[in-house]
Amino acid sequence: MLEVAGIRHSYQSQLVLDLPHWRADEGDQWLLHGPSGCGKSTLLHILGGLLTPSEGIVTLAGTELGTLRGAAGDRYRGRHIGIVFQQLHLIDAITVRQNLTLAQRFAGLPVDEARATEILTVLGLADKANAFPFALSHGQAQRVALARALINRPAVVLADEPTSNLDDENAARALALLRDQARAHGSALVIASHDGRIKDAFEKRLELPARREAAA
Amino acid sequence: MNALALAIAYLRRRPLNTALNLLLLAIGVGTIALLLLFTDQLQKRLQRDADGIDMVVGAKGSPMQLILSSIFHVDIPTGNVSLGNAQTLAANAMVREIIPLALGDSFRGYRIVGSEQNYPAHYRAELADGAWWQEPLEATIGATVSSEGGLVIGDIFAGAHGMASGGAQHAETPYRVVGVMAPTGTVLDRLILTSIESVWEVHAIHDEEADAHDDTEHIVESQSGSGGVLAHGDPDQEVTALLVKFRNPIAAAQLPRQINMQTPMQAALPGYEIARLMQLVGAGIDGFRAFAVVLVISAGLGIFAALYNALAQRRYDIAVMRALGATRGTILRQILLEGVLLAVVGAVLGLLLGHGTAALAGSWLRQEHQIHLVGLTWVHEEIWLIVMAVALGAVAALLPALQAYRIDISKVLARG
Repeated sequence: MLEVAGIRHSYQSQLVLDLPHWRADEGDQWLLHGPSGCGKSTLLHILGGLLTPSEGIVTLAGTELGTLRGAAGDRYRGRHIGIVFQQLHLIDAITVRQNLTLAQRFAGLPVDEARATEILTVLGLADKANAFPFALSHGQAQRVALARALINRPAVVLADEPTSNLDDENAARALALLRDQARAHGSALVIASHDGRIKDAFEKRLELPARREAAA
Repeated sequence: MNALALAIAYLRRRPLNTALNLLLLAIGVGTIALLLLFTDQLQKRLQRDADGIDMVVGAKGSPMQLILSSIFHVDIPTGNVSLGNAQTLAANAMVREIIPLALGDSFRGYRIVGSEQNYPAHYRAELADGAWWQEPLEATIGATVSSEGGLVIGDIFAGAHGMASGGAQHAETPYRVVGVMAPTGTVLDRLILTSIESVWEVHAIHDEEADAHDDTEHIVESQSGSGGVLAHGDPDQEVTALLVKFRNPIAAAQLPRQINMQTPMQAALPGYEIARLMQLVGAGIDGFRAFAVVLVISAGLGIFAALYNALAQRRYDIAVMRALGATRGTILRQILLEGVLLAVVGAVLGLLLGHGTAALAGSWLRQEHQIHLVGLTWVHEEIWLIVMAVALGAVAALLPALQAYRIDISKVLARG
């Protein structure tokens, strides 16, 4: 379903990623694991269509991402890929609900308030719908970020270091939520993390070797 | 959450900055709008009052003063001319019509104008109530004199000598209001009209008082039958000014020079003097306009600075929006929209400010001066102010928008 072939990515003529082949099937939950600077964030960006690799092909549900140019690529990403960033990056100027409906609009989908309400309710955020992100606790903000990634029922959810800076209890809770919700939405899940605590929870792991002087 | 709502949300995130830029722009645009309203209304008013009057003849002095005092009734008259000279002029073949005016008195600041029926007829004035003046010391008053001066039909009032209220009163020869004119939108609304003979009579008795014992007969017969004072008046009497209409355009080239050279009278051309007046006023207006343009440009720079600075904080937002599916074009339009929205709101506030100030200043000016300024009117140039604002906002937002357009989302997000 999500497949890469012959991916090599260089940054300032420094090879930061070299992945001959990797594949995730529908509903799979993968951990991209490795130390800082191993290129897992780079890979995540490549999988998410945020970055075009120097070489190689990424295919999502039969569509080769590299063939989609400009606006078409943006729309495709918005519809089929959900991303949870490490820093969450909720848009502070607008409410929680608006963060969600904005994701619908940018994906080129009709705004569906009922869907926004539904997912907020599932994630226990119904009473925060009209709150601004800066008024949320970290846990709440994390759930909003997840809701935003899932609202368009993407084929795959990408999460960058979802457990960093969390204590054991919260890390476990965040991870469980992420995995449960991805499963509930029928989305594949790919997590990039250097967190050793979560390593054993995943059957499917892609270990990326450390690289010296690598960016990202 | 549409683009407009998002733009508003971002503007509200920096309320102080947004308010400051709006204020700057509003003051600039408001000043320009006020100047537009002022010049437009002043010019229209001057043209309406002077419409159809080809030449004004009066005593020697400043031609501008002659025009101001006898057409617009704002300055003091240059003096009087003898009726004899006026009658000679009336006989000239190039003259189609003469409206004689006898000025000098006022009531509560409203000027009492001795004239003939062709004066209100010239402005197509109609009676709202009562009748035109017939007998000596009957007066027909303008709409404003009635509504704001408080005179009604049947009122008896004494004119005061001079043009400002508070002059010596002609208490022995009071006027009686016999009619009220309908509003004309001209200077007529603020005038008290009576016959020239009435003005003579008032001043004859006034002079008599001054001379203490003068037994000369001063009762003036009504001469407003056919032809009026110009046909039958005593040539030794005086009038203040003559509003002249020409029979043909050649007269404009010949008559004024002839009058100025060969008679003790002065001729002035309203068109020329109004143009001169607007030029004088225009110099001051240009200064104000330059000041306003500087304000508008500052506002543009302010919008640019605000969007440019905000961009540093918004890089992540923009990258995230792109990750959510927003295209480069969407982001570009979003930033442009913010600039344009700010500018348009500022311009609209400015127009409201300009019109509000005009209305406020108008109500004050009306009391203090004979200037009529209203706020509830629209000058077609104002549409250009909006167009200008849109352009200003777009130009100010262009560079920040292009920067947002070029953002490398992966790089920005990798840093975060």
